Amino acid sequence: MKKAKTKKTYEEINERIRKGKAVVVTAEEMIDIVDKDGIQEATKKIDVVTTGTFAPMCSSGAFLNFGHTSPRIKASRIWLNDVPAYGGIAAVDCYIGATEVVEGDPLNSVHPGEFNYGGGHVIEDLVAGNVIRLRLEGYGTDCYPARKHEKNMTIRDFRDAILFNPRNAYQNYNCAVNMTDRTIYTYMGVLRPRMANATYSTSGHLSPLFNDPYYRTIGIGTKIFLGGAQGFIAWWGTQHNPHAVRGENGVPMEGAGTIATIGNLKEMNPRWITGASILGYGVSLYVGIGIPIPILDEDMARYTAVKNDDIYAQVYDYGMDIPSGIDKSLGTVSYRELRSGSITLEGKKIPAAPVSSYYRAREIAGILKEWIGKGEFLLGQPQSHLPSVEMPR
Amino acid sequence: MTRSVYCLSIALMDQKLKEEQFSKKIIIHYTADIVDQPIVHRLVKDYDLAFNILKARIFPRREGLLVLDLTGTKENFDRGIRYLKKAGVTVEPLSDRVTQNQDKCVHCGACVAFCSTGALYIEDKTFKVLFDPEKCTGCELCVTACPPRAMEINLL
Ligand code: SF4
Ligand code: SF4
Repeated sequence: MKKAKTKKTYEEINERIRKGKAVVVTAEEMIDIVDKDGIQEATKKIDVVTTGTFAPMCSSGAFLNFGHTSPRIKASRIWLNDVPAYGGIAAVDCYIGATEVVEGDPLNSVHPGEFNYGGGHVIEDLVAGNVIRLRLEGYGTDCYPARKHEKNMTIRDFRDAILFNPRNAYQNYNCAVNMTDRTIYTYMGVLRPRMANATYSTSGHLSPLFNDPYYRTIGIGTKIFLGGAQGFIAWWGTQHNPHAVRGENGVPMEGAGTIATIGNLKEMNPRWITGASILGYGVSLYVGIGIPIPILDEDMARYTAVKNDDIYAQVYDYGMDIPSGIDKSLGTVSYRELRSGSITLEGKKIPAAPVSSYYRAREIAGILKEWIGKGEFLLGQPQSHLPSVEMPR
Repeated sequence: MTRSVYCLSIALMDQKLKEEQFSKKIIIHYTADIVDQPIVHRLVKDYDLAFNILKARIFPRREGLLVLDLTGTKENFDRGIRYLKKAGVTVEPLSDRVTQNQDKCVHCGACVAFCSTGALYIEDKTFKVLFDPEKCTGCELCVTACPPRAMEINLL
């Protein structure tokens, strides 16, 4: 006799969450559950699997509305703590990007530059409630006569502060080495000459998009943990590429899907929105993201049980190849190897270090599990799907 | 291990000798008036201490600092430190001057790639990044290479 396969809807799961009856586990815990009970049982038992990632994510920033001044100004040039923000949106709206560097920074003129302050730090200062010096310049119009304005503000004084990150939570990312004879300073960290070390990003089997490789439940409108608050997936992220090479388990073996995220900066916490100064590269922003994945059916149970052994990354040379635009993989390594602290490449053992925090990723998955368990966080059903490819059956 | 096996192996004797050796990294601050005294030389001659200079800085007014890795027996080490203090320099363990700010560290692990002494390392299972001050040589690389600036070093 064939047992009927379990199917659940978002409504059913949300109803259980509301009643405090939903069974929620983290993506790490799901691995053991499926191992022990099998896919069928796990599908029945588990309602939601939580994931997490915490890493420097360029392509982040915030829209800020600083309110009208008296006399009014149409601010076309804007600085926040001397970091330029983009003002070509409206009179008193701007966008502060994570990678913008403070004006007058020596940059890489003495290499490697330190990049002590920039957009990422402004955003962290805002979230932390610190005072920000706002400086405005306008060209003057009949309706907006003022040409200059300066004031101190905290996040509470802004009319609106919206984190909007055009590309976050890369589904997979490169493992970086350096084949040249000199130390290089990259967004993947410090890379010693002659492949003396390797660095990698993503939190492996805890990482959101590894747990839903075809974006069945992670779509436009999905509610997420963003910077310590409840945020949303707004769109697919820039450079989203569902057509990447995939393993038998459907998991991409190279950079693939991305998401654009949005949330209220005023509700966020500096523990999860932290400025980063990357030696010799520039400024960025650590962003904490967690995504809940509903176990709608056996496929979702199988996907969320993926483990580091079965997730792979490509190794690239950041010394010559990547800077010249050559995407030539030097080899494939599993996240189990990466996490063990060393990889083997061309017969050579190379120490590997992460640039994203597994410790914090785990904490995020735990917080999200708690929120859902307590009924404080309901799932948001995607209103539309991200571009994807056919799931092989 | 029995004594006879121990006597047979010179390699193991070396090991035993090493174990008796005591090693510590210290930071010495001296003022201009004692800059001419051969203090390091006396540590070697009178107290039989081996040293490794990890850092040496002299400032415009001729005061300066030295970061030394001293090795010798515990007894000689303690006597050497007493000598230094008598000679009028301040001596402190280097480990007191390097800290990992727990409020700022995000446990990203980026430092594991560039800290060449293994002083910063990832703890098994928890994946927390821990700092072992005894291994740190005070190279100061982490001061600018840690993205959230969690490593605080003040050698002055
Ligand atoms: S690089 Fe800095 S923040 Fe990251 S783990 Fe090391 S000390 Fe902590
Ligand atoms: S000062 Fe140098 S040795 Fe000490 S923790 Fe920092 S990088 Fe490592």
